[in-house]
Amino acid sequence: MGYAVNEKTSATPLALRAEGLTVRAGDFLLDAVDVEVPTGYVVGMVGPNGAGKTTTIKAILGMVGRSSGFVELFGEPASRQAARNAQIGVVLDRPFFSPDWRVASVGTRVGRFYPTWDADRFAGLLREFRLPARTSVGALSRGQGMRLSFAVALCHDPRLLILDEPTGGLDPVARAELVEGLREFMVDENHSVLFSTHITSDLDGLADFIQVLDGGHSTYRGTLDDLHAQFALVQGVGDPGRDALRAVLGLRRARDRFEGMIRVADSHLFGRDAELSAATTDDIVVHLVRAGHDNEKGL
Amino acid sequence: MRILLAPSSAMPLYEQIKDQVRAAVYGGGLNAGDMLPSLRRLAADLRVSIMTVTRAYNDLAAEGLVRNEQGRGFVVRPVDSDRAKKALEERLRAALRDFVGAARAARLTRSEAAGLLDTEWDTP
Repeated sequence: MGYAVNEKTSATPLALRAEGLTVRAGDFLLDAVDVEVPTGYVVGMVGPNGAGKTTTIKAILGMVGRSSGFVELFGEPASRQAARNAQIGVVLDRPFFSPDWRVASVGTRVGRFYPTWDADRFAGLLREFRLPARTSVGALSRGQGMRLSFAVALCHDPRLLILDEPTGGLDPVARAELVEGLREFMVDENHSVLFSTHITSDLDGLADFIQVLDGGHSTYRGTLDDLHAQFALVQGVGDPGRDALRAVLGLRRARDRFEGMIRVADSHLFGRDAELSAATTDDIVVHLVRAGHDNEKGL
Repeated sequence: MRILLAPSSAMPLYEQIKDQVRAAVYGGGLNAGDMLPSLRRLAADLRVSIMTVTRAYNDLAAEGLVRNEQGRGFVVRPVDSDRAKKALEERLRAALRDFVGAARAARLTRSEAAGLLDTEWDTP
């Protein structure tokens, strides 16, 4: 399923285009996943644990070998080690700095690899993020480690930020700070963000596009607005009929009640006893994933 | 111009943005030639996605209220007085519908509700 293209977005140049990313790792297969990040927009990648989000990001960055597929950054084929590209800021699950470096020294150690490194900004962000300058990286909490990675990613002035589960394990305050940081980054129209999360509420009010991954497949790509316009929750009592039931995604029945999600276009199949309601982003992702699993089980 | 959003409102966020820009333009808070707030700055300030503001601004441009000037941003166009009058009337009607609905829910009589309106009218 491609983006619901309108003229505006189809004309937008892409900061990132990945096509047919395929990675085999033991039993896991990332199966021909396409990813697009239009310049000036935020793409949120969601899906349950094990869906392939981290593998997709690592494949984009050239950190795992892919058996097929290609990656373009800013309209040019990406080198094998895209992660070293100064135009990309990367925040991974764990900081990739040595655990015995002191926090303040990370700037000088990492900054020298980037011609655009802004040492003053780094010092400022350490204060803003309340990071203990003399503590060693290995002694930082999960939230502090993430903020340190985020500070480093911002300070070489990238055009594209790629973040893997940046909010995972953060307390609400740290999470809000990170989201605010991303919003500020996006005020510049040349900036773009790709981030993964299993907390779908992270997307609301931030992501322009959503991509759902499940079991190594990409199951939905589109704007968040379209996603909300397309689906609704349904619940009711009794038997709404075969056609109606077949239209329900992630159908669950308990005694004589039924519930699930439908495409708004299918709402005419349901009588007045069925109650339709707006679905949150979380509802939609849960039901899309559930529907995929039901299909696999042949339900 | 200040835009305030109610995230829990049934009205979609982009509609709320449109509503408030319209009110500012028709109510005289924004004049012809004024710039709307930068789209990306507004998205960050209101904590909504860029696409939400883009959609609101593009809709307003399609209505003829503003125009998108390449490289500058969205500029308020001169107000068509007929349309301004209609828009103000429509806002008033919507407010009256809310008022009547609330009055009925409170089981007020028509004259009691009118009394409330009179009091409010005379409050400076």
